[in-house]
Amino acid sequence: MGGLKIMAPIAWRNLWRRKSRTLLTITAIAMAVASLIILGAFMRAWGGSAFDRTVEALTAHGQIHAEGFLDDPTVEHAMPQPAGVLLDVLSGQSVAAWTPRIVALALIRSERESAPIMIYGIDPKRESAVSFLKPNAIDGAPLTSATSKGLIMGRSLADRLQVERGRRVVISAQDENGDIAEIGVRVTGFYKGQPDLQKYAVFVSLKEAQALLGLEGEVSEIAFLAPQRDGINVAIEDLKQAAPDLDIRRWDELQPFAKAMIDLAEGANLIWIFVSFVLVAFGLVNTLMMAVYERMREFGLLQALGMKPVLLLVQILVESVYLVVFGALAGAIAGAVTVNAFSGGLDFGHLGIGAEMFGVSQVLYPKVSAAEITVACSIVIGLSILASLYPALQASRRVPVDVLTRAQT
Amino acid sequence: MTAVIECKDVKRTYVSGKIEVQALQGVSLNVSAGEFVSLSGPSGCGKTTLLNIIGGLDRPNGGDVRVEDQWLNELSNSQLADLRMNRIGFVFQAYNLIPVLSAAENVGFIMQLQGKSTGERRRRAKQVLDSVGLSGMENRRPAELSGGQQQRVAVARAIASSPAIVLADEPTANLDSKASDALLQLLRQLNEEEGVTIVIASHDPKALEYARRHVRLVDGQIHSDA
Ligand SMILES: Nc1ncnc2c1ncn2[C@@H]1O[C@H](COP(=O)(O)OP(=O)(O)O)[C@@H](O)[C@H]1O
Ligand SMILES: [Mg+2]
Repeated sequence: MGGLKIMAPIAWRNLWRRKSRTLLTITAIAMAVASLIILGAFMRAWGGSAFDRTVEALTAHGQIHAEGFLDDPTVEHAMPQPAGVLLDVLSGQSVAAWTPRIVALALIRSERESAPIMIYGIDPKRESAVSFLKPNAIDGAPLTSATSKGLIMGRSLADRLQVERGRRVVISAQDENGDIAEIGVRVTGFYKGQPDLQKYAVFVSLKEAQALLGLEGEVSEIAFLAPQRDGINVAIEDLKQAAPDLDIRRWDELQPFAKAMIDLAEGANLIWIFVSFVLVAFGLVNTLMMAVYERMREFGLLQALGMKPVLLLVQILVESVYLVVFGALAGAIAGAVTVNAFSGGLDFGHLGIGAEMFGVSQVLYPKVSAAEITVACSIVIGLSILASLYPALQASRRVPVDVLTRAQT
Repeated sequence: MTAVIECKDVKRTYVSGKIEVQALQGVSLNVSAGEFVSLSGPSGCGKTTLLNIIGGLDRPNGGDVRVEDQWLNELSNSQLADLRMNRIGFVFQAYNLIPVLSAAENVGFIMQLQGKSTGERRRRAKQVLDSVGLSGMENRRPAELSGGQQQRVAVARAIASSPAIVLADEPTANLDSKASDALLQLLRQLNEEEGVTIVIASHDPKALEYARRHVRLVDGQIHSDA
């Protein structure tokens, strides 16, 4: 269109005629785009971190129990160790790793104190492939096999019980027959992190827990990981087919609070998009209105010279397109650079427990992709141009003869 | 000779708040091709209103205006814009030029709207700027020109697009007498050499000297025409 060819250079020069206002508008748009990108990256890092933390804090991608166990976690609701079709699926393509556990309420006693706990009997090799409980998460001697002697507890529980490494503690729990069973075990190590678990989760070998509770050959829980996050549903489906009588649940059914936190992280992002756009839209409409009002005489002149109202609209829109595109580009660059600067990890360690309470690990790893930048830019560019239609229409609707010919008489 | 401008009982009423101002109370006026007409009268008598209506920048409440063979009431805003682009040149009291364009670009602007090539525009702009005595100022922006020079660029622009009619509203009001003379001389030349019809609204006695027909408005009505 010939009109655009005439108007584009004029629009371009007009931008530089009002340098400070142009820069101000570009800055506002850039800040909106940059904050979208930066906040988006952090929110996703936060959501991802909250998910990872939930998964590694024993929940995994999903769990299998005997029917009734989740309501009443007692020895009656144990199930046989996986075998047959279920074992085939667990060892197959749709499941990346799995681990059997004994889980039971118990009482722990040291020489000085006692506390209610959850006792976990685990297979250390399998467990380390599924949860946080890996050898390097442990101060002292980790459990080495499903038959090892020894006990791992959290540091905060150890402080409460006033036990040191190497000391014996006594665990008591209700066994298969309803009697109280007891074993004495030596504390061999303490695990790091997991402030919530530290207060109550205590680990022994699977064999030891089975012996204590009289559950030879049985387990209370199987936790599993799918190969990827988006493969979880497939794994669940396969497992349900293999074991229709067992209670098989996804992580978000097991941890609804964590699920809510992760959803919030994503929802907050949308709210921020909306808020920052409203701010930019107001600023942009305001700036363009000022620019249009100031130049009514010029627009009148253009129309007196025979420029059609539509072309005038085009001219004003072209000016805002320049502003918005430059702003968005600057913002995209600023956002990407900022996110990249923190991609090695942003340490929230100094916030300590506060951040961990929200299910976030102490270090976030924000990332940004070209697709996300494109989306952020498109949203802001599209909506800003829409917002600038209003003053453009105002200016082109009629010939402003008053200001054109009578302003100085 | 047929009239190139025909005003038929043109009325224009402005309403501001509760007050109605009758700026034009039935003006009938014919201007033939090649005339040089002055429009005079006390401030507020309706000169600007009449010029705006003739040029299609404003619309009358009553009556109609014909420019060449087109009755303006029948035209859309976009058609009026086309009429201005092709047939009418405006020269205002001030702010005639697009600030971000150079003198030559301003002169070529209407030609650009008309779709003339860059080469043709440049050649014509230089030629016309030379003829109005602004050689060597092609690349100056309006802010770098004096008031008189700016007005001459505006006339040069009118010349360049070869309109049938030039409507000038107080073109000398901001100029000293020497610059006024130069500008009026230009308009006369345009009228005599190119046969362009000129209507100039002014209360500057000097402007009246250059015109060959004098229309005087009082209170929105024609008071005398000679
Ligand atoms: N937009 C307007 N609103 C109200 N009154 C106006 C407006 N424009 C012009 N007028 C009035 O119309 C009359 C004629 O104005 P104008 O044509 O500008 O006169 P002139 O150009 O002869 O000085 C004046 O009384 C003026 O106040
Ligand atoms: Mg006037």
